[in-house]
Amino acid sequence: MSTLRVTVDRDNVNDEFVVVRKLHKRNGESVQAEELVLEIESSKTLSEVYAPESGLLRVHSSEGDEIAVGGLLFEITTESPEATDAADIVRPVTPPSEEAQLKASRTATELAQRLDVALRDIPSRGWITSADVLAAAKPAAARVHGDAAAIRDASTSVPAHGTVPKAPFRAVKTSLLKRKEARILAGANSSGSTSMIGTELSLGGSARLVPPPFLFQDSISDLVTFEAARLLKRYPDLNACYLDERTNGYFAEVNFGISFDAGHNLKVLALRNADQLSLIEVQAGFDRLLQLYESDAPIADELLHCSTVTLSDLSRSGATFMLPLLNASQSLIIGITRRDSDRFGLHASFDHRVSEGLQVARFLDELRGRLQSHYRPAPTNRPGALRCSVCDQTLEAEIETGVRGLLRIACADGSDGYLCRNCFEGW
Amino acid sequence: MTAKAHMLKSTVECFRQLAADAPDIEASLTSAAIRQALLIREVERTFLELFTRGAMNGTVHTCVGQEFSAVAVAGQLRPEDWVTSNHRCHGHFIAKTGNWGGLIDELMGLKSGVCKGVGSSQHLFSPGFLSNGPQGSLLPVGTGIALHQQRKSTTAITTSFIGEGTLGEGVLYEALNLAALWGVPQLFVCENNLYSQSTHQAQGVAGSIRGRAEAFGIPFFEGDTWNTRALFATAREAIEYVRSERKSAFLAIRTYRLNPHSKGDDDRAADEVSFFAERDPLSRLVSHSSSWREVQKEIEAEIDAYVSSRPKLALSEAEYAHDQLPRDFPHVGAAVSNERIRMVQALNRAYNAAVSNGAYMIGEDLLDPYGGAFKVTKGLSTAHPERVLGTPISEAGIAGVGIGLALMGDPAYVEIMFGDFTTNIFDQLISNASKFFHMYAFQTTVPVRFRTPMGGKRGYGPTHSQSLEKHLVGIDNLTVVALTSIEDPTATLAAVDELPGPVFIIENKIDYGRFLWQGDPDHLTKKVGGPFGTIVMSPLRHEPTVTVVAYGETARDIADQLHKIFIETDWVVELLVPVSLHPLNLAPILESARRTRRVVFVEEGSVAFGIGSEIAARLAEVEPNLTCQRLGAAPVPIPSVLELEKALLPSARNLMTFLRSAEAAGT
Repeated sequence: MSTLRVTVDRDNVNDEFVVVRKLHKRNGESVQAEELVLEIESSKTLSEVYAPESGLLRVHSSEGDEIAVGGLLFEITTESPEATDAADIVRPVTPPSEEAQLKASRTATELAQRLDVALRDIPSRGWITSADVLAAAKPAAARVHGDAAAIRDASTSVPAHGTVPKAPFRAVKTSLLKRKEARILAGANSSGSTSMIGTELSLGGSARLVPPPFLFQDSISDLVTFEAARLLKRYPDLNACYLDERTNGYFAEVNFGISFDAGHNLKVLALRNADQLSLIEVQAGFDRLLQLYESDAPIADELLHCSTVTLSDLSRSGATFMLPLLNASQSLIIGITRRDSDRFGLHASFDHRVSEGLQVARFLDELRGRLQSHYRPAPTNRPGALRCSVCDQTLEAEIETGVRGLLRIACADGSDGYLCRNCFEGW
Repeated sequence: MTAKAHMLKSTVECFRQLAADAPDIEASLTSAAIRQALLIREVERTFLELFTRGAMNGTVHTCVGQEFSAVAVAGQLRPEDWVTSNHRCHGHFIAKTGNWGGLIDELMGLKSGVCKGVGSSQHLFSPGFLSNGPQGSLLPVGTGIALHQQRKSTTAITTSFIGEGTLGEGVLYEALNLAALWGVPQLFVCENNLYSQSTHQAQGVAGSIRGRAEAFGIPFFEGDTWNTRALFATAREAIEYVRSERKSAFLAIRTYRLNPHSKGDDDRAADEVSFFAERDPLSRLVSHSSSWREVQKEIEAEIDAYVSSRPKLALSEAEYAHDQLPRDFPHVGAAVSNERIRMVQALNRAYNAAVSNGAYMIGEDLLDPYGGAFKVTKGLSTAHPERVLGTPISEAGIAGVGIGLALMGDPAYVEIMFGDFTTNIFDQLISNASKFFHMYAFQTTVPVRFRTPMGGKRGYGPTHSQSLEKHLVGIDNLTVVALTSIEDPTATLAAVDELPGPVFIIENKIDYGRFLWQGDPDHLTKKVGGPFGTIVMSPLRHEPTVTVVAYGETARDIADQLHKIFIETDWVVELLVPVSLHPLNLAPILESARRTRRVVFVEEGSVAFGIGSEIAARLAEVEPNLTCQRLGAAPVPIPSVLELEKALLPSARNLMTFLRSAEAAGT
């Protein structure tokens, strides 16, 4: 019997290890020469590794495992007929005959029912454990490595800096490329890897299609929350957090944290599952949270700590620019400022270790578009369109009565206005 | 005066009387005898001197004052005869073998010593002679040697020296009983020097010495070392009796040691010691005979010259530190496939083969038609009546007999009826079986095999259900094997039969009745590492997720339920069953553990300081980051209540409960 060892070649001088990305064959299966066995990822590329010879495959790595350069990927053994060496008494890897029943453990059977997995669909040699069921139940898009516990509703990995997100999340290994990027950023930016991108929302004097409740007369918080929450489903990197050098956590829910600050009492209260609320429900939620904030009642831990993204509205403060700080265990915070009656600033601070600038810019762009869709089209700025609200005199009529116009007055808030010369009452 | 003090006084009085009336030895004895006694005395004196000079280490128990006892008995034996002796053995040794030079080298710790310096004063061996420190320990071994002589010789006899202090040890009476019952040529010689270390005979010995011999129907002879002519005649008479009648005899010799018990520990009344010193026949001779003084000086000079000439070569670690354990586990494997017979039948067949090959099988209630308590030996006594012996209830005694037979080259199987009674043979195991090979500098080998059924689950209660292997593994030079009905024991027992050293075979009461393992379609069962290796049961339908190490009956219980264990606990077990517990073949366990990363050790006794702990430690030495857990019996005496017993002892059921909780502890 001979055993062929296939190890990791050093084809990239920068890498000390590679990550097993996908296994195409299982331990104990027989393989043909040139057959694809597995794929490995280095910091540069994803490569395919083929069986050099036909034989019996022995592989003990799982997807997501890191193998050092020079380390063993798998072995191919070719059996000789008169094997007497103890190691050669290999288990025959024939799958059970069609008549042989599939046998699943009790917990595997229950789990399969719960996760709606058919036992027959699970690749096996005859016995099925709950780990096999969990592995088969994974969604194709997710690249969870081996650990079934990651899918259960419990945070299992503790980020290197010690804070554990309280909202349920799924741990995902970051690509080698991204890790390298994070290292570079951390080296250059001593204040962290937070970056900020802003955009401007011009409303051009238009009003909302649906008049908002009093609380949102001159605020867009409800709209931002409503639209951003939905949009985040398509930008999962922005509803996530940095766990450690190799892992990000992607939140299962969108819990919008709303900042309330009456001076010296900043609290962020979560609007849970904001992506599933209607606008009216979002507005009611704000109201509820505000009342909770203003009352002295103790606030449930849940509301305080389960936010996955935060909103900070300073549009009434007079600030025209802000750089909101990211909360721990989040990767996005949206700040709102107001330039003037027509223009809002949207400022998104984000964790560059989890997402990147272009992605955030696109997000803001889309968000702005959606926000604008809540406003009726801006009126065209033709003078003729002006009409006195008291005497109904139009400017056109004014002009017809002679070259007069409207009186320009200074309004109480310092802005310019026009007074009807006809009645001196309205404009 | 109290009765006790009166008795004390009268015993000493008796001795004083004998010493006072002692005739002159020159008229009573041959010069050869006197010379030999002088030689013994001078050698003893030399030892004391060397100790004082710091040229000797350890301890020494001189027989100064008792020399004629040695010369009268051991000096009148033949080379083919054997002697067992105790701590005060120098005189016996010199009188029997004449090898005073080898004795000196031995005490000086030289490689040229009788036992290469390993045994020193108390642990001597030479063909025809052996001694050991613990009181009475060698007596049943002597009985075994005498039994061999009874079968193989018409003239050779065994002489066992004891002191009056030894009359307190139980194993003496087991030996006397066995010797008398079987009619073997063993001469018991009791040197009564009035004191056992610091205890006067009257405080240590109830009744009479004669009464003891007569209780067993053994002829009693007596003499003393002051009336030397009578002593030599009596000794010759006793020796001749044993030699011609081929039966046991008891010779009690009154004497007095002039020196302390060992060195410096002497609380005897000074006037008493000086009384006997003044009347010591040898001293008196030398003091009034110039020619004998010359002889004494000659002997002294010869010894001195010898001592100063010895090359100071000592035994090295490499030469000494090895043993007879079968530590070679060849890298071979074979599928396990068994006949459909019960374990007890397979054992019966295997032991029959061993006895046919010339081995003895001795134990209680072995003889047909009873055929042993668990019928393992049924039919053996009918087929081989001369080598299958039923014995009285004397575990220590028959253990010693087995050792004695094995020492003489007759492999001997000793059955201890219940594993629990192993407690009775610990001294024979540890002081004799385990030590002879090394202590006597590789001049001997002891192919004795102890076999016993351990285990509970029958409601027999605390002293009939134990598994005591934890206390046996690790005893020097003792191979410990645990048989299991997963595998036909024939090959293992055939290999045991070939081993030169002592072996302890653990059988199991419940396992006796089981049919040998007939295989399982979901597992591949193979044995790796040779007959003392490991049975490996690998799952075929899934990669194993846990390694379970078990042995004996519980291993079979688990093997029977591997499928159920999977269904109930979700764990896929690879079962490793070591057949030899000591030495243990680690390689297959390590290989399995490296794959599964989780090992559960199951042992029959409690886990504290046990088999699982040892294997876990050995694994940790070579493979970090394994999850290791131990499962065993609850650390309390085993109750008789059946359900409670089942709950407290390890089983497949308990393993299932254990594995279910292990799952919750995090995969």
